[in-house]
Amino acid sequence: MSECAVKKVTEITTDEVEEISKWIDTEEYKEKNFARTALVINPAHACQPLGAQMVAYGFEETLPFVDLNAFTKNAKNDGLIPEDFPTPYANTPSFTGTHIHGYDAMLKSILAYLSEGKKAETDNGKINIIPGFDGNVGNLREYKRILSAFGIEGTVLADISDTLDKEFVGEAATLSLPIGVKKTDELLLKLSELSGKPVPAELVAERGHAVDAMTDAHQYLHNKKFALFGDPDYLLGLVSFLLEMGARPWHVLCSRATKKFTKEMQALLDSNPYGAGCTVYVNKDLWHMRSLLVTDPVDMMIGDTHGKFAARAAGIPLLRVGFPIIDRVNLHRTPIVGYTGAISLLTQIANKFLDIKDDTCEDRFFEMMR
Amino acid sequence: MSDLKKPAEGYSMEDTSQMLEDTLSIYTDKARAKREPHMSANDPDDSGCAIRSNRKTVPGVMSARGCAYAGAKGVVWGPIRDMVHVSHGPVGCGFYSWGTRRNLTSGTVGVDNFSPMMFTSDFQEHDIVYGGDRKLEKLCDEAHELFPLAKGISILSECPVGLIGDDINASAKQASAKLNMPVVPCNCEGFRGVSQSLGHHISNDTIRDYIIGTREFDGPESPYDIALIGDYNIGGDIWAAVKVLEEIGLNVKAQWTGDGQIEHIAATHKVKLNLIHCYRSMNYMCKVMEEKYGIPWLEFNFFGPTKIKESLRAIGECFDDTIKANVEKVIARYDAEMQAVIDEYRPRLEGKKVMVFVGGLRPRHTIGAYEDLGMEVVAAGYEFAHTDDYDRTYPEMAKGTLVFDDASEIELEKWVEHMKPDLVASGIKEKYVFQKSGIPFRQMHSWDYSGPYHAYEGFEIFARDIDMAINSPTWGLVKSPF
Repeated sequence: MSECAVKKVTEITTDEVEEISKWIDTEEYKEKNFARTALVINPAHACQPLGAQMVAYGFEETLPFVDLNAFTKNAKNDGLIPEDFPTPYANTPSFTGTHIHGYDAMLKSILAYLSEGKKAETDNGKINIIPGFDGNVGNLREYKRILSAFGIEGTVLADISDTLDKEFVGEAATLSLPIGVKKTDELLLKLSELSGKPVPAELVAERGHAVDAMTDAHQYLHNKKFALFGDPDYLLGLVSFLLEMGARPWHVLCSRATKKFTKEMQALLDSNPYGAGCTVYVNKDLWHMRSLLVTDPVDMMIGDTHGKFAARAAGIPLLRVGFPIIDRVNLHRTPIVGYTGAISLLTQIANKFLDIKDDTCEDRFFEMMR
Repeated sequence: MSDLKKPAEGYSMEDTSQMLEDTLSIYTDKARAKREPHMSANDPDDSGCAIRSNRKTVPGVMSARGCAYAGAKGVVWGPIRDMVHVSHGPVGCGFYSWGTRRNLTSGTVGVDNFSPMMFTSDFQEHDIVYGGDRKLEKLCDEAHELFPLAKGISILSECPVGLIGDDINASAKQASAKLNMPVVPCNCEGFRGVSQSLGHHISNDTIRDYIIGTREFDGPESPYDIALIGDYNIGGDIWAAVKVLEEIGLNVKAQWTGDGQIEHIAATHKVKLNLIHCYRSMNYMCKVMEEKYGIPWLEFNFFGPTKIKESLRAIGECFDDTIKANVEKVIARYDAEMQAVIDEYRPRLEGKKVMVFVGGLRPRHTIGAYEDLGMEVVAAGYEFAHTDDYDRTYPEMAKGTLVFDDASEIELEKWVEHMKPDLVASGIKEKYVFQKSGIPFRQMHSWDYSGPYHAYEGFEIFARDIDMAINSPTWGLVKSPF
């Protein structure tokens, strides 16, 4: 190649940056962005092994390995690990499903392995709670507190906040994540039904506190628009809570979900006038979310840490809920489930809006009371 | 190297060797035979002393290592800000490495700065069965359309891509011709090699094959044109380093690769000197540029005022009297400032012992900074080093201290128990093991979400952080009164 054929280093100009900065906030860009079929940008989901690890960490003295059946069989044959040493195994390929599927597959495998050959003809009267993929240890502790308030003997399975006993499966009920009053009511009614015990006075009083707090603070959330992203269970719970508050879920984005989820979410939105106008997006990522936020603005976004760039681009706050939260301290210790969780969510959301008002208003509107 | 360090008080060849013997006794014979050569009591005057390194990790132990993909995406390619870096394969590899290495970049995110973003082909079962080549070509088109100011695309293969035999090189070639910009295929599948180290090497080779020599700097050349190699701008490190290099009168024409720009990197063959901070990850390209373009290179160390001073003088020696004079002026200007930092923190840190277990250059390069604060590094290990890294480490450590390679969690626990360091400086996988057992810890891959630690600006922050890690009043609460 001759000397003159080599191109010179060019610099991106400030004019170019300005032009493209404006362009990526337009409807036209949004359309191009939503037309993507191959490139995924800033996804809001991880892969199966993460979920499987989360389960394994919930069983004390368990080492999670990405392992193979033949491998463990050989290891046992060679006497490297004892024959009776439990080695439950789950296929968790990274190219199908998400961390949620990995969680379910691993938990199922562990339970099947531990109960293999043991028939559950009668149940043992205990209740197991399978919390699903949840990095919030505060939530897990809250479930245990609720069980204990009922006086129910029970176990939170794959409890990363504590340990595990072996149990066998009897009757099963599937409930949404108990976020907000209604979903918590459903959980307590189900526990009451399964155990034959009344809802304890302690929890009835807590419900009163939550409702009291929600009515007192309704004005700070009423009609505020929210964008949400995250795992299906979390989204159903959070949307239910926002609707209870008279807030408006506006963009709900789940990066990997089934049709069943879309149907259930739509039904929930349709059941409440504050659900009107909300759009549910599945198989979309956080670069799509960015386009939504800048073309059709909302007041706040709710999701994990990965949403912070989109929130910043749109100039709105991000309420950190979900997994992972890697830029704020201690949120994983504060439950968002149950009645106490509802109070906590409400407090965080309302005070965030109030902080923004105090931080940004003109002096003449800076008031003692809010 | 200058004179040998004094043996550390309380540590001896015999004691450390016995500790290693006890540690190895936990292993099966086979595992023991593999691990034994990777750890040793340091004997700097024994030239035969050699740690075995760059070998496959013993299966089943908890290793701190990363993979070739991690070395390519997280270290070499990822920090280049004006390119779209595609994690090609299933979603996880890109997701877990998204924003976690802290290689900061300038510019507007999504406009002319893409490092803080995560791009993936998010392989599904269909792609595994039928191959992902077409998807790859399509996504290059989409990236170009949505990010018109991006100056190139890197394609970083994850394990399944190599396993199913996709030809990313052909796809990249096609995309590059069509889009008229560099589209670089990097075959850095995680299963290649024994650690992230091979990922660095593979990435260096792709820069050699696809990038270097394809551009020239606009404007006149100067005898003071240099490139800064192997600084990834963790917490702003490269900005602190460039500041000092400019103050002594040098022009930093290209940054490899912290806050890097691909066209500047492409023109690096036109500089007069390559200054290399992280020898492990980028010595390859320094050697290539030396052989092919005759560019000399120099290792330097910008941790702590003593080493900064030594390094600045060594850099000055490569240039004329103007630069040499500037070096002395800069050293004089910062001396008082640095002494103030030392005066503030050294009394609280004097005599404290440190165990360091990190990657790249830091196990040896940070020793001087601790010593400036009156501390002593009594154990130093690397995750993915090679023989030449250890050769550079023995003389920096006192006799009888511990030098080790690719330690497992259980080994670290045994050593910490025995050596009782006042601070463990290691990675995120080690952090909570030690912190939750009441031992002060700093996450020294990412500067524990602080930084910069490089150059004069960085030393003050380093000193503050080390002081608070060791002297936080929270440690006083650990023991319950009941």
